[in-house]
Formats: sequence, structure tokens, C-alpha cells
Amino acid sequence: MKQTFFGRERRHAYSPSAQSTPLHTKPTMPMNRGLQALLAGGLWAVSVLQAQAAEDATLTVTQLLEYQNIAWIIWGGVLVFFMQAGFALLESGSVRAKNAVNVMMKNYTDMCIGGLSFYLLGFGLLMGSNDTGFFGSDHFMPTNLSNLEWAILFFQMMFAATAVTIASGAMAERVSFVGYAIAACVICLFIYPVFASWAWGGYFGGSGWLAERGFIDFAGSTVVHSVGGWLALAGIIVIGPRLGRFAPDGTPRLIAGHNMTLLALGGFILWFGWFGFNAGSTLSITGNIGLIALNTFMAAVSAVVCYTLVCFSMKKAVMLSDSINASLIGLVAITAGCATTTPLFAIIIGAIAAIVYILSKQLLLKLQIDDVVSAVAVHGFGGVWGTLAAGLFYTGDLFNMSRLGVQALGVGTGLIWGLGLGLLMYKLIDVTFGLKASRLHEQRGLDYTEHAELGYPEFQKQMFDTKGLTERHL
Amino acid sequence: MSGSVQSVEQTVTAMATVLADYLTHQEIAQLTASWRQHSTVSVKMIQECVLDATTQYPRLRQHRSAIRQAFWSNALHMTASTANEDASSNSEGGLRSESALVSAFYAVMRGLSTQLPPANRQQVFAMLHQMVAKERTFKGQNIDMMAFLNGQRPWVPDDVEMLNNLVQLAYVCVCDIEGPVEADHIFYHVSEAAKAEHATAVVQQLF
Repeated sequence: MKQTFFGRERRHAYSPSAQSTPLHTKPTMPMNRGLQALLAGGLWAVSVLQAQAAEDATLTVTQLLEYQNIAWIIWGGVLVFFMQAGFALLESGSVRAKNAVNVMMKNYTDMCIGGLSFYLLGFGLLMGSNDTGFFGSDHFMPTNLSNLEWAILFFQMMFAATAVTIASGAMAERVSFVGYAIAACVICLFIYPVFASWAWGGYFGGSGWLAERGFIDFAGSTVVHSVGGWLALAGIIVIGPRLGRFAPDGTPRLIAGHNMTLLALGGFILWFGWFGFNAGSTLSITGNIGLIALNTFMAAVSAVVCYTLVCFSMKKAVMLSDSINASLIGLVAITAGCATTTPLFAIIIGAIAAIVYILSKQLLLKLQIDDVVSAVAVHGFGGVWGTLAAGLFYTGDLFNMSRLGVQALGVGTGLIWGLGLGLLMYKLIDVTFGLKASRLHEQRGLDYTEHAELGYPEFQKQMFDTKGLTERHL
Repeated sequence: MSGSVQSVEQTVTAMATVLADYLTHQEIAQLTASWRQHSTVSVKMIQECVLDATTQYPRLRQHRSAIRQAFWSNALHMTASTANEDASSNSEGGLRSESALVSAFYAVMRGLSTQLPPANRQQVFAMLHQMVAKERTFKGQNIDMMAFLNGQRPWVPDDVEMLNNLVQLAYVCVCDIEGPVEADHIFYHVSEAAKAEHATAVVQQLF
């Protein structure tokens, strides 16, 4: 491969043996003519080889750009990977102390299971030759790709892990660990890659049916976030609300998270990672990454400001958790159109996203749907708005209704695919392996019942015997 | 003879009476010998008995529904009379001794009644009573949860799983009425109060 070739030549040119060649050394002993001729010939040969090696070691602009792009994609992927930490902190802070370990474990594990599943089957389904327009059919468990392709595989793997982890927060505090892990596997193995192939597929030939119709989803408002949000909705419909989340008359009760600082830190980390999510999706450092990064930021800040203004105007408290969610829905919403819109429209997209968040959260509460971190509102509904906005505010072709129609088609397909398959999958898991944690587990907390580890052993109030914890350890 | 064993014996006898219409005396004796091995009367036990009888004697399959119904009504009748006897012996200051587990359970229920706000106490226990009546685990048992409201000690099965289940149901009810955060708080105080009176290990089995 090119880089290997480059590396080998580079090592050769600057190898100690090459540098120690005594070019300037004069003979100290009298020599005959034959020996002098041989020495001169040898010196000439060495200088020719050195010149050739130096020429080979010089990169062309194309090569240099490719290496830079690879580095950019890896950096973007690393940032998206770091978003897992953001999700974990945000979700962990949002639950009661007795479930803090469980939430962390789910985030840690779904990434591992998801990554493995994506490598085994997901990448092929997403990026493999897509002749039908519905799924890729080769490059499963790849072993021989170019350097750029490895980088893309890594980047896409991080995206798949993100789609999976969205459901974790929504279903927190009452989902069984095994059931959740199985769902994470199925999502990365099949549900996410197939849908993503419709919009982004065909890297190795062909293209997805949505992409062929002109569907725009630059970094995944629908592909990653909406689908993740609808899967989360399916999960929480199947397992139902937490005990006592709604009073017998349907009034929602606040179950406060145990650590708002963790929640805020998670929000910051997610925001930080989002620059990699959006700007990294150019897959090229020469793209308009400056505009993308700026749009990403503007949408998030405008969403928070809009949420704050709404709170003030309605004489309501400005909550930290909702402010963070407002920034996140702004980020979700700009994800589809961050490369194809202007900062002014990014501000509008973010502001409307905040309204979408407020309304959708109220709607879910009315329907007595218990979403611990408002993942459905943020990712599901935020993704819908963002995808439609990407069609509406497309630079140079504003408010094109036919484009909006294609966007709506993509949004509707995402809803049917994510919610439909999600309901089927979670129901099947529920009747086979069990998805809902038992009421005893919910009462005791999943940290103890599922993992035999406590988040805050010195401070937690324990009613049951925890002396036997270590007996359950390896 | 403990209450559970006694109720198993009575229930099996009653079921043998039901089977007398369909099987010979010897066949019934064979069946009931294994049924007497059960420690408590439960849904599982009744189901196993019906399955056992119809598997060993396929000619009973056509009467399965009638047999099951008769088993249930007998089991319910027996448990109710046992519970009444227990209650009357308790109220008369009878000599029947209760296990440490049951004692701890009474303490937990008393503590719960104390910890709950007076306005919601009635509602919680009424809801709990209904849930216990509906719950399959307690089918065949006659547990008067409302009696705890008046400081009484109604009959409860001396079985750690069942008593733990009752506490879980109580937790669900308190979550519904008071909210989950308050429920955790109340249950913590209830358990601490119970631990002050009874062995910690016994109390912890209930939560």
C-alpha cells in the first residue's frame, strides 16, 4: 500500500547506513588506479541511489491530501467515539444513584457489541456494492481494504455505536442488561446499516434508493439520530414506564437524576464530539469544514437561547437538564444540513428545534411515555425537523417543495423502519430473553441486581444484604 | 404441624374427593402421595396436580376443566378456613408461635403503615389488597392486607419468597401513590425500623 511504500522508502533514505556512507573521506593509504576507479564507481552508484530514494520519498500533492484526509477521518471518528463518554455521563447523571453503574455499563457494552457486529455484517450491508439500492452485498468482515477505506470503516463504526446508544438513556432504570445487549447487537448488525445504506450506501458500487431520489442527510439527522430515537421509542413502549413515574391519574412525576454535574459534563462532551460528527463527515479536510463547524455551533447555541427565552416568556424555571437537551436537539437538527446551509439558517434551525423539543416532550408525557433523558424528543423529533430543514434551507435552492417531499419520504421511512422493526425486535427479546427488569430489580436498583457493583457504596441507603456482593464477582 | 403443611394436607384431601368421581381409590392414593410432598399451596402446585392427573390418566383430559375448577374452589375454601382459624387463635392469644421471618414481616407492615402519610395510608393498603388478590403468585392464599391498617396481624404464608413478593407489591403501590423517590425514602426508614426490632439478616430477606 502507498503508506507502507512511503514508509519503507523513507526509512531507506534516512537509514543510518545510508547516512554513514563515507562520501567525504579521503584515502589515507596509497592506492592503485584500479582501486581508485572502483571507489569512484561505488561513490557514483551510492549518490545515484540516494537521489532516487529522495525522489521517491517526495510526496505528491494528491498523496499528501489523501493522508491528511485519512488523519481527518480518524480524528473525526475519535471525536465521535468520545461522544460515548458524553452519552454515558449524561445518562448516568439523569438516573437515580442506584442505577448509575448500570447505565455506564450499558454505554460501555453497547459500543463494544455494536462495534463487533458492525464489523462482522454491518459494514458490508452499509457500504458494500449496493446494486438493488436496499443493502450492500459484499465487504463483510473485510480484511483487505485501502488505508482510506479502513478509516471510513472506523468512522462508520463509531456512527453505528452512536445510533445504538441513543436508546440506552431512554430505557434506563428498568431494562434488563442482557435484553439491551441483544438489542444493541441486532441494531448494529442489521437495523442501522440497512437504513444507512439507503442514504449513504454504495461506497463500493451502486447507491441507496433514498440517495438516488436526492435525499440529503449530510451527517445523519435521520440516518443516525431519528432511527436511534425511534428505536428508543419502541423500547420504552415495550418495557413501559418506571414504577411510579406516572400517578394513577396519569400525572407525570419527576424522578430527579442523581448528579446534575455529570449530566452537564455529558452535555459538554457530546457537543465537543459533535464537531467530529459533522465536520468529520466531509471525509475530507478540503471540504467546507469551517462552515460545518460554525453551523454546528450556531444551531446549538441558538436552541439554548430560544429555550431560555420561551421559559422566561412563560414564567417557567430555566432548567439545566432541558437547556442541555435544547443544545443537543439543536445539534441533532443541524446534522442533516450543516454542509448545505448558511449560519443564519443554522440559527433558525436551532431555534425551531428548541420549540420542537418543548412540544414533543410534552406530547410524550401526555401519552405517559417515560423517556428518562428525553432521547425520543431530542433525537427522534429533532432528527425529523433537521432533515426537513435541510431540504428547506438548501443553499442556492431555498424552499424547494419537491426537495422537501424527498426529505419527508426519508423521514417517514426512518420512522416506519426504526419504530416498526424496533417494536418487533424488543417484543421478541421480551418474550424470549426478557427485556423488562423485574420489579424486585427495579426496587433494589440495577447496579446491585445486574452487576453486583454499587455506584456510591459509602453513601447509598441499602435495605437489603450487600455483604454477598463479592461472591458474585469473578 | 405447621400451617402450610396442614393446608397442603387439607387441599390434597379435598382434591382427592374431587377425583373420586373419576378414578379408583388406589389410583387416587398413588397421585396424592406425591402431591403431599409440596410445602405450600400455590398456583404452581394446583397446576402441577392437574397436569399430573391428566398425564397419568389420559381419560381425565375430557374432564380437565371441571377438575381444575373443583381443585381451585377446594383450595380456596381450605386456605380461607385455615386463615380464619389462624386469625381466631391469634386473637385469643393462642399458643401458635410465628417464625422470625413472619414476625419481621409484621414489623415491616406496621412500619409502612406508620411511615405513610395518613391521607394515603388507606389508599395504599386498599391497592395492595387488590393487587395481592389478583396476583397469580398468591392465588389460593387468603391474605387480608387491609387488616394491617388496623394494626392487626392477619395470616401470611411463612415463605420467604412470598413475603418478599408482598413487600415488592407494597413497594409498587407506594411508588404509584407517593412516587418512586418518596417510596425509596419510606422503605428505607421502614427497613431501619424493622432492623431495630428484628435480626438484620431476616429483615433484609424481605427487601
